[in-house]
Amino acid sequence: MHPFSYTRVSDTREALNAGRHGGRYIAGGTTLVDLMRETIERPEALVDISGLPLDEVSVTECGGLRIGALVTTAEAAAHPKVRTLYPVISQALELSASAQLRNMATIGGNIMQRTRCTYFRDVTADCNKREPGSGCAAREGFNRTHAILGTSEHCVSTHPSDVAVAFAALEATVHLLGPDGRRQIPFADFLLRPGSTPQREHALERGELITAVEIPAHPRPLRSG
Amino acid sequence: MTRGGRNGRHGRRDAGRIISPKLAESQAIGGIVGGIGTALLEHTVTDHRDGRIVNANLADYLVPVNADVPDVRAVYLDGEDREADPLGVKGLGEVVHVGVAPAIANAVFNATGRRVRELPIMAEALL
Repeated sequence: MHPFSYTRVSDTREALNAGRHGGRYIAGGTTLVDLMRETIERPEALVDISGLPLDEVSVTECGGLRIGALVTTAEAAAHPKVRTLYPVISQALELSASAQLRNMATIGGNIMQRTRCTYFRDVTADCNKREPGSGCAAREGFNRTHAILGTSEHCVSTHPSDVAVAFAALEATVHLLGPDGRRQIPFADFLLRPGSTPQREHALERGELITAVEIPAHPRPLRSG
Repeated sequence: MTRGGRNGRHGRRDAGRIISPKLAESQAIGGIVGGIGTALLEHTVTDHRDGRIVNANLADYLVPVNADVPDVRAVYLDGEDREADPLGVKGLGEVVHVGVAPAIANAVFNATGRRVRELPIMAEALL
């Protein structure tokens, strides 16, 4: 692991300030710490946002649901409103990881996970996502669980989140807070297709913070079958 | 050996005289769980270009967890085997693992008509 500094922030202003100077946000740490141990992620500064007040699930004026970025995946899955209004979210979350991880991992962190492509996680392999221009070892290598749709010649990896699929299907919106204020983007535009820049995975600008994921009201029935 | 039925899955073994039922039970059930892994999950994948193992971690190398394992019971054939050993005992080591994958492969054959001869049995073998 490479050396890094660690700061715990207590309000969003402080967080954004640290983020603007290149700090990487960390909450549950279940994905970032793994990647740091493998030296795939090498942040100079970690900004612990787990104390920020972004941990509530609330019903919106339009009858949708707003899940704070720091709600743990266990809490989100078990929340009565999530269970009754959007069972697909509960089901997707409960298929993910293990109970211990779900108790730590947050909704914001879940959608910021990086691919499980074995070559991305092997620092000796060629990977355009980890090291742009080095090539893609997966295209001719082991790619049984890789993407079929939305790929490019530079990258065939998939996003590892189960609940991301549910968010996309439910036409969720990601709420962001940055140095220039708040903005919202459709979930489908939040995660980027690899194209010729597979190292760019999401639409976050430097220092921007995910504050919540909002799911619009959906008419019942909720099952496709 | 192993079979599924209305009363759950039985691992049936001829282990001679059982000296420590608790130890035998945990060994036998552990063997069934391990066998489920062999049959359906565990696979060391090598990159055909350089022979490197591409799933050399416990996130990608899958073993059965509680959610993968149905109710299982271990049962033993009666009897002591004085031919094998004066105490009437037989080994109950890795042997508990061995019959499980063939039993599952037989179940797959029974359900689909397809004889799968490579482990683990993956969905694409049935396409």
